Amino acid sequence: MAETPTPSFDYPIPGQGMTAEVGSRPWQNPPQYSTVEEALEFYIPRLVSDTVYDSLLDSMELGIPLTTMADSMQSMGVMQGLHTIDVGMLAIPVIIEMLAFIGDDAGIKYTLGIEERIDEDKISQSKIALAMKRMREKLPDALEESKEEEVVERVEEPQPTGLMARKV
Amino acid sequence: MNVNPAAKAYTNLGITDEVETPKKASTGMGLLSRNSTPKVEKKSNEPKDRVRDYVSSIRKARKQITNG
Repeated sequence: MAETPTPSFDYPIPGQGMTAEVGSRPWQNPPQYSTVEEALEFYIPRLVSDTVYDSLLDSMELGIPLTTMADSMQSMGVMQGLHTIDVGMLAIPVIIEMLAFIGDDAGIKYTLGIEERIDEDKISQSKIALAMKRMREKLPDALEESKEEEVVERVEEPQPTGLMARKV
Repeated sequence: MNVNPAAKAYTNLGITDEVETPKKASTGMGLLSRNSTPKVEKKSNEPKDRVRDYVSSIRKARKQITNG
């Protein structure tokens, strides 16, 4: 599934982070799991639990990249105060690999989200602009000549002069 | 360009798929041969290295599934 950057208006307004008392948010308190291993001990049993397993496979079948899934998981963990962002970033590769393992085990085709998306049929805008620029550089004379020829042809065309002639 | 931090974290682990073959220590049996003990490589215990080990072990298991 293509992950396109879209403008979001859900971002916090500047200063919103300071509207709550310090320490009132989960992520402002000491994390529950301070090492990667502790965080993974939290995540991995949940990935294979009955409640999460089916929805994971559904998401994989829908084409959601595993990297996106892992990233959102660890972000939730940070928001809940389970671990720090650093520990979350370290846990991400293991979570991705575990998700891939689950997908392979279930025989589901999934996308990791690390593949470079190259659409051979689609020509990039920069290439089109470059080609247009080169065309303009090479063909101004030719374009002018063709315009002149058109004018001449129009002039040379014999106009019907009869009373019953059709107007073109 | 991929801007997903998870993708970057996953690809920047630097895991090689090559199978490491342990080098055999050449120990001569002659009287004049050197008494060379094979060097034991110190394994780093940095979190990134531990994560790399975890990922490579899961990947091995995954390959066993995909290869039958």
